[in-house]
Amino acid sequence: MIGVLHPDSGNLTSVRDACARLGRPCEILRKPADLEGVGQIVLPGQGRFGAVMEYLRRRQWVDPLRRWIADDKPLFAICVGMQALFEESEEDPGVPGLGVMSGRVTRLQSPKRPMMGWANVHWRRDGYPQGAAYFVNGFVVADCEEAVAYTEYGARFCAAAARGSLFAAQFHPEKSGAWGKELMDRCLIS
Amino acid sequence: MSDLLKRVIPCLDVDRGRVVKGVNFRNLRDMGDPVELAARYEREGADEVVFLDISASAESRPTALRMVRQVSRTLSIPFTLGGGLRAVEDIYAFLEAGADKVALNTSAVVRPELIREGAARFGSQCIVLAIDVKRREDGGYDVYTHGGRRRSGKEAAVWAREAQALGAGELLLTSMDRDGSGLGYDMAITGQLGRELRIPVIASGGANAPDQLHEAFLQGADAILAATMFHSGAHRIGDVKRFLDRQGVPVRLDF
Repeated sequence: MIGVLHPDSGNLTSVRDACARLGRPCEILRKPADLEGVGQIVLPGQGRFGAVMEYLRRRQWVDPLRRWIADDKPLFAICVGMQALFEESEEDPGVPGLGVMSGRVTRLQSPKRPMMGWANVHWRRDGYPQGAAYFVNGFVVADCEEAVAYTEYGARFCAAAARGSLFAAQFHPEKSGAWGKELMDRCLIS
Repeated sequence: MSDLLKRVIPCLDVDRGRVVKGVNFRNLRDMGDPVELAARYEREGADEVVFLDISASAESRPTALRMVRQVSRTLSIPFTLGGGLRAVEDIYAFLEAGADKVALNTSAVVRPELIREGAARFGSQCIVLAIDVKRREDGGYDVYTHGGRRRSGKEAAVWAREAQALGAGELLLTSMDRDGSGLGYDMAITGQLGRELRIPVIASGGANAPDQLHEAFLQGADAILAATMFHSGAHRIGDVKRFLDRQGVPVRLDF
């Protein structure tokens, strides 16, 4: 079973609906005890880095998530959910992230802010579908060791990162049409 | 270099759960089921869909929410809902039902703080400011509200900048002069704001030919909205995007 973490800050509905369209029923994770029987965590995220981290801390998710990732259990992170995996963010200085990946989140110096719309994703690894993804973000990770895809808008940044059973997307695969469906189908456990 | 693509967005005017088409909200014709039509547009290459609930009232709210719920289950591209959102709770209800963004028009003119409150709680990315404008003889543009029936006294460019400062994440700019005319977008104001604002600007009102879309993108629009042009069957979105691609406009073609 897939468990979708409720970050209290955004559009959980579209992630759940996307899972349902893929025939992957999911349950909502409100507290770490809900992880019982869960094979993959989906970590969505909208809104601010600081708000997401504050929620994870308040609901005591930080240690269980770090352990989950250290054990290389499947995790699929989206947008601010991806940013939360890093050490810190320029959006909310002084708020530590989960720190399971090295690097920091910085403001995207893009022509229009926030970056909003479809953009091409350039994979650096085989096996991923070629195409465009839907992005909504003002902050990005410029680069990291785990980067598997890049996109450029104002500056080049990491569009997706992967390590073992962990996959993180700066874009919104749940809103990226047939291409996003194909990617989620590949990355979600059945 | 930029990987960001220009967006083509069909607009569905919805009245009591049905897509309608008319001129200035009159002679409304039933154009079908909004969910089915939107799903077809997604398959044909639409980058997003905008639904405007033109009957928006307290009584139509449950119907609109049911529609949004159904759209969210069906579409896998982003969609916006506009019409009759007056309070932060209304915004919450539609986002919770699955809308990615809400469009605020009259309610934001009446109470600009609604933009700030919505952006603070849900993020700028889901607050679209919709402005209906009419050109004056002196070249300025008046903002109209209440479905184009009332002149608000606001100047379009000033209001757009104010809304951006309050936290609007996108501007949907409709020319009432051009709407339904087929003469193409009013690029004087759209181009000016598209180049000047740091939030994306969606051109709306007046399109019925692919070269008018091309022109809008050349002049600085980040996205275009069109209704009749697609509903009438005169142009299919995929064909229009392939035309734009041939003209050198970066668009998404893998759908």
